[in-house]
Amino acid sequence: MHANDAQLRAQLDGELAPADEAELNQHVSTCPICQARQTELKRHAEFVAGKLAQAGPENSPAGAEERIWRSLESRISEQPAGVPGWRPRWSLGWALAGAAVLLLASLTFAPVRAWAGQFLGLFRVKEIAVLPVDVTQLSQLSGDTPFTEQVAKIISSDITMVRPPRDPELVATAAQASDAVGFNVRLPTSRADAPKLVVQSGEAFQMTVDRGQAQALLDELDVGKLTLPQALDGAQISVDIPAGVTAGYGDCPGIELPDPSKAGTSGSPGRRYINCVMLVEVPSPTVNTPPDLDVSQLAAIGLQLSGMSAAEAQAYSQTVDWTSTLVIPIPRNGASYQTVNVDGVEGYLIERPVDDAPQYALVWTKGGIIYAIGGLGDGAQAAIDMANSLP
Amino acid sequence: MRADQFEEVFQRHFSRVHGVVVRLVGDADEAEDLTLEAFWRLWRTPGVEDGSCGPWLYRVATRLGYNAMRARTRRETYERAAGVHEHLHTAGEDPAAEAERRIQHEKVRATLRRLSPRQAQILGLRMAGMSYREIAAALDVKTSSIGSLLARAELQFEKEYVELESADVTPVDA
Repeated sequence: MHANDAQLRAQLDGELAPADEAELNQHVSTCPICQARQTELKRHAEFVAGKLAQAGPENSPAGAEERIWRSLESRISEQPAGVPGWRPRWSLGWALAGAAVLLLASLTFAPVRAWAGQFLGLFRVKEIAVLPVDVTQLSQLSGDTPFTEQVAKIISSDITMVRPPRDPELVATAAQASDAVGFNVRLPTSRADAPKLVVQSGEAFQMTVDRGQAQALLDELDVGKLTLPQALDGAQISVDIPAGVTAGYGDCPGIELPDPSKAGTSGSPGRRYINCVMLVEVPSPTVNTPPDLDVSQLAAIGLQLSGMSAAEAQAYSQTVDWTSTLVIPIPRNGASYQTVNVDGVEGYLIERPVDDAPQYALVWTKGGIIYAIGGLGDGAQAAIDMANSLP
Repeated sequence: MRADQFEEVFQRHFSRVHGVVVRLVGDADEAEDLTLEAFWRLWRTPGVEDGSCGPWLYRVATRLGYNAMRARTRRETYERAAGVHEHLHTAGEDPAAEAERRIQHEKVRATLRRLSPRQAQILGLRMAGMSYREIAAALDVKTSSIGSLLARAELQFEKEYVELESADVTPVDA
């Protein structure tokens, strides 16, 4: 067994633990292949160090630290901490979906591959948590393919639909919607206009996890070594997403998912729906996994994929009851969130600044139903009012 | 974060953040602007805990540096076309040596621009003398993977540099 590049390169920088270094030295001293590789790595390292030193930094102008601190000081006196400023740029693959309303739909409806349901082992939602993740890194790894599709590819290629989704159905009244979905659909009294009510059929499917395939895909990603548990191989996971309803106020997009090939071509994709507010109501999806499957271990891997270090992921995954928490990933540097009291419970208000069409989403769960209100523009307060006016 | 906590974070991390950025962009004035931006973003971003400020700052600062390098391509092409570049940068005591230094300098930046963001980041962080552990924290990867990531970045750098050199192309076109 030869030494790998990670060990050989770390040795050049004196970054190996003493015991590891002694062991490596012993092997390398008797292995011509490793010696040759080590020489090669050393040559590359010296080449790069030489070039970079040659074109090294110009001297830092005197007083840089003081100048920068003075600028910061005057700025922070005007803006409290933790308030995201206006960002002129927004170019994440995650944002292809555009409007927050569509994000909400994607979290709760059709994309059965949503990590909420399939990936993180969501059993039944009782709580909601918001998790800032480094999506920049992730979108870089996965190109422009929607995250949910990536996740589907990783976890299973064998998906059987138990109850396929039907086409969404337009209904006229809340009573009709309630009949169709089997729970009491609530509409806000703060809005005088009639919403466009659409019933989503939900769906159910089963998948058989192919650990080998999943591991091979994981290995290709540049995120360090992540090992999937053996218990995952051949595991049967079933997901049931119940029927729900969307109530669209104003000029809203269709209830179908956004087509990524058409999104993001000019300006903010959701700009034309600036006056749309969408309310989503859906009972918690249910997920069944084999009893010996350690969901928090899987979740930790998912968290590392989303840009956390192993230690952070381990720590975070221990704090969440994955069987009852819907974890909503938001971009670490591109969105902010706060807890708010709505509808008599605690909810989350997530806001993403986008130059001409800022997005907001208000999410909470009550009585087994997940509620979400989303829209564009400066409507966060109106969303809270809407939530509080639900009968 | 309170203002006094923020000031402490600034004092603790300023030199290294600035050091990493200046090594990436190679321009002291620009590095100053980017360092300011990184700290400003930290102030405005909710939920960055005290212990993770360092890694957060290095991640954001190196990313800003990388983006700035790429953005500079267009500006420099324009300056070159206008003849401003040569005039401004050959005004030292030894114009020939200064011109050669500038060319080397640009070639290195052009090579860095051709790398992936993470590869440029890891080289910048290592150049600034950060340990594998610190680099791993900044890039959110395992410490044990830094060696291979670094080796790959160095190999890629050399390959791109040699390619640029042999093609004898104008570096700013990278």
